[in-house]
Parts: sequence; C-alpha cells; structure tokens
Amino acid sequence: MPPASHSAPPRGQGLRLTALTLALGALVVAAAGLGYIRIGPGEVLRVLGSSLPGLSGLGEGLDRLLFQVVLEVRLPRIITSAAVGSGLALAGVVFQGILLNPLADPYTLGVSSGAAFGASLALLLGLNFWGGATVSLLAFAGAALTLLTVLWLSSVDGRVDPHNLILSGVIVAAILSAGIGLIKYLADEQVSIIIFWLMGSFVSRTWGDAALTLGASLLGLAVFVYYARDLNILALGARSAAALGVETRRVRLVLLITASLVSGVCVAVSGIIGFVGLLIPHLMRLLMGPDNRGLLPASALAGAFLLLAADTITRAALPHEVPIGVLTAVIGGPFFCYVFRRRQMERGHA
Amino acid sequence: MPEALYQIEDLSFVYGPVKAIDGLSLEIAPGLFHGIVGPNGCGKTTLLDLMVGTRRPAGGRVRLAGRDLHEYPRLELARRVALVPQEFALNFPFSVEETVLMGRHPHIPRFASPRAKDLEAVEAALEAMGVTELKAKRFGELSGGEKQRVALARALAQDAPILLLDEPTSHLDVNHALAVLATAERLVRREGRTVVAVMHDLNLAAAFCDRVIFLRRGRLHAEGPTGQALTTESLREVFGVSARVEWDDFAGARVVVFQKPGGAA
Repeated sequence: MPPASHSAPPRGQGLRLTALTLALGALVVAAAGLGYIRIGPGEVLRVLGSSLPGLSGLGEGLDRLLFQVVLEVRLPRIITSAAVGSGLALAGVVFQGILLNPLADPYTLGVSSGAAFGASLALLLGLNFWGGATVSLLAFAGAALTLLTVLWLSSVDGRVDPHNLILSGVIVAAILSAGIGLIKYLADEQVSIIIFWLMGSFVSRTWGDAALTLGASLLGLAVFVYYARDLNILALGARSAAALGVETRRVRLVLLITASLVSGVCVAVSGIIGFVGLLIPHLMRLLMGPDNRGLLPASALAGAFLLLAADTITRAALPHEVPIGVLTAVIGGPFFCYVFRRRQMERGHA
Repeated sequence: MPEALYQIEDLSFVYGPVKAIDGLSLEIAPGLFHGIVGPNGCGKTTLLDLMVGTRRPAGGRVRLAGRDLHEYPRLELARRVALVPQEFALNFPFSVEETVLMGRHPHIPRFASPRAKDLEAVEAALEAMGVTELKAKRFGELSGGEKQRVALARALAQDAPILLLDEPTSHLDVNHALAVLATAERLVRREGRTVVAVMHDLNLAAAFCDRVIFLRRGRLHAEGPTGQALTTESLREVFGVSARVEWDDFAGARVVVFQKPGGAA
C-alpha cells in the first residue's frame, strides 16, 4: 500500500491547478457577458479572439457596441479585480509564511491601512509628481512604513514575536484610520472621492489600472515562486532555515518588500479590500497542502476568482453596487474569528 | 591528534550587555565525538550557532578547514555542517516526510525535483531514527520525543560530514536516547564524520564522547580526552558539585555518581 501523504502528489496538484485555471477562464467569459447589456459566451469569445493578432476575422458581423462594452468597459475592470484578488492572496501567503502567523494578511497587519493613508494623502494634496503612478507610489511608501512600524512594535529582543503581530497591526491600523479620518475632514471637495475609494471598488477601471495591478501581481508571483522553497524551509524557524543554507535575511527582506509593494499597488487602485489574503491561503492550504510551490499559484488563481466573482455579483446581480471591500469584510470577518478561535483551541490542547 | 577541523580563535559574542562567549579559543579535531558540557547559560548553544554560521561573532573568528566561516556560501556551508537545534517549531502542516526532505535542500538545485538519491537519503534517515512509520503524519501532531527524532533525521538526510547537536536527547526516554547517541557514534566510527553535541547528561557524555569541552561563563575551562578531562575536580570547578567518576564494567564506560547536597559527611 503506498503511504498516504498529507501533501497532494505532484500529479494531483497539476490537476487542481488546471481546474482552477479553467474555472477562472470560464468566470472571465461569464463576467464579460453579464451586466446591463447581456452578451452570450460565444459572442464574448469571438470578441476576445478577434482582438488577438491574426484572428480579427472572428469579429465579423458582430455589433460594434459589443466590442466597446467588452473590450473598453468590462475587460479592464475584470482584469483589475482579478489581479487585485491575486495580489492580495499572494501577499497573504507570503506574510503568513515569513511572519509564521496564519492570521497575517495585508489587512490584519495594517499594511492596507498604511497604503490607504499614503494614497489618501496623495489625493488630498493633489500630488502628481509621478503622473498616474503617484498614488500607487505613496500607497507603497505607506504600506512599507506601516509594516516596519508593526514589526518594530511586535519585536522582542530583535525578534518578531508572532503572537504580538496582529495586535500591533490592529493598533497601527487604528491610528492610521484616525489619520485618514483627519484627511477626510480636511478634504472638502475631494471627500466623496476618498470615501468611496476607501471602501474598495472596481468601478470605472481603465486599461492603465489593469496593467498596473496585473504587472504587480505577476511580478509578485514570479518573485514569490522563485523563493517558494526557501519560504517552505523558513517554516522551521530562521535558525534551522539558515543552517539548511537559506539566506534568511535576504529572503525575508526581498519577500517582505515585494509583498508590501504588491499590497500597496492593490490598495492604491482599488481601496481597502480586507480578508482576501486570509481566506484564500487558508482554503488553498486545505486543497494543495502547505508546500508554497503549489500554494502560491493556487492562491493567485483562487484570489482572482474570488474577487472577480464578488465584483461581478455587485456589478451585475445586485440592484445597487455594494462596495466590494464591504462585501469581503462581511464574509472575511467571521472567517477571521473562526480561524482565530481554532488557533486558540489548538493552543489550549498543546 | 589529527589536524584541526575547526579552529576557533579568541571568539566573542554578546547579547546586549551580556557576554555569551568571551574570548574562547578551541580546536576541534575531525572524526571524533565531541561533547560540550557546562552549566546553564554558559554559552553552549551560542557556540554551536557560531560554528554553523547562523550568528556572526562580535570578535575573533571561526575557521572551518582553514577557511573563515563567513567566506563560505551559505549553501556550501549547509552541505558541510548540519545543526539540530533544541526547539523544533514547524508552523504549517508539513508531513514528517516533507520535513525530513527539507534536509536535502542544500543538495537539490532551486527548481529541480528531488532525485532518487535524495529520496533514498530521506528513507535511510527515517529508518535510522526509527520514525519511518510516522512519515505520513503531520509534524505538528507528534510528541516531543518524536519531533526530536524527526529533527535528527532531517540532519542525517542533510548528509553533512559535521553534525552539531544541541542537547539531542533532551526530550527522549532512555531507550531512544541511547539509540540516538549510538547512531551518532556509528556515523563517527564507520563514516569518519565529526559530531559536536551539547550534552546535559554527564553519564551519556562519559559513555559516548571521545573528548569533552568544558565551558564556563563563555570561556573554555578545559578540553581533552573524556577519560582525562571528565574528573571529580573539573565537575567541582565547572558545576560546583561533588561527584565521583569511575570506570564501571557493567556500563562499559566511566560513570559519574553525584553526591546529594548535604547528603554525606
């Protein structure tokens, strides 16, 4: 009898990743067809196909309006929400893996609030020195500074204490929301823009947003997969990992900076969308096992699926658009309580 | 005594205001079983960290095979020196088999899959530590003693000629403690590997170690063949206890018999 293993065999992992990819592809086609103007999947595929080089013939005989709706209105929004979902889920996997705390994600660490603070500041002051990327740049700076502060607050004798981490994140996030409140108070005319953006939304996304978020998420995926095995070994603790040949300082630094960058870009484009980075890695660990080489791509796909599904529901199924950050918090908040409770029980038994 | 494997010169290390290692010089010969003994907080664990290169000395240096430790690339060092620390946390639900396979990390190129010889090394290490039947279990579900044996198996799979063990038997019952140390001894005798182990149990140190290294307050107090260095005098000086050290035919080794404080005239 072959020994049962808790980690899925490579073949099973490949199948699961394929299934996730197909599900995401089907959702993209469905989402492109849903909305005020309904478009069948066949027509969506013809519109998408005709924009590829050499296949323009596919689009013959279709209403030009369909091209407008699919390619100019819906697709940027679809790609942005999927890329943000991927980015947040990936950042969650990495924060959890490095900080050795399954409750860590951009939201619970305060990184999202830091990014939001930086971005609000850019909006308030009308900063524009880097063109359209200025808001993203300030969001990244806010994310990175917040992460440093949270790590400093939660460290004892120069080592980060995983138990203090989330508490520090919540404290810093509370201070930052007060800061954001002040910005809103000062903002006058800009206030409605800031408020709506803070709640998290994918309304009227452009190809620029899509390119920025997709680029950040793909960069994150590449960096994270490159270090996936080191991240596995870091689960043994920094000391054992270093003794096994992992350049612990460099790996942690590169991964934390990249994860902050990805979270910062996601927040800059879409506002605060909480708990995706908590929910998805947890579910994917059940599906794929703890090995980051399978966990990272699976989380990227599932994160994209979750946010695209949620965005499509608020856009096409609900009578009014609900800000997506509200939606994920309503689902993710109770889930956080569940994971937290289970951890307490496990610690009680240990 | 053969040429030194490790040359440690005037080594020091500080934690804040505390000097954990304070001007320690020591040579460690290859192919022997060395025991480090000394009271709590005398710097034993810190010394192992400095010998595996996970901490940088505040002063002095550690040379391995004639080369400063920090000139070695991390992965090359991991192919030469394996460490089994005292604590074995594992924060995600990896299986025992996956945990032991992590020991092969320095031998497997970044994007390669484990090859046949890696899997064989894992099987052999699981077998040697008697944990083969646990391999599908999650590491987190094991008892303290099982975790310790899995951590030792991981270091065996690492296949390094030098093994640094930090209290390798602290969580083990006497049966498993003897088995683990006998395995370590076999690696020394049959394969010429070098073992440096922090030993708490002086009777186990007397039975298995070729040489003992006495540390006291971050300094080398004494070092030598076990038969000469492990004496009534050294135990009194280092630990402040009264003890008799004598050969015992039944044990097949020297044994240490302690006097209960205030127990005799």
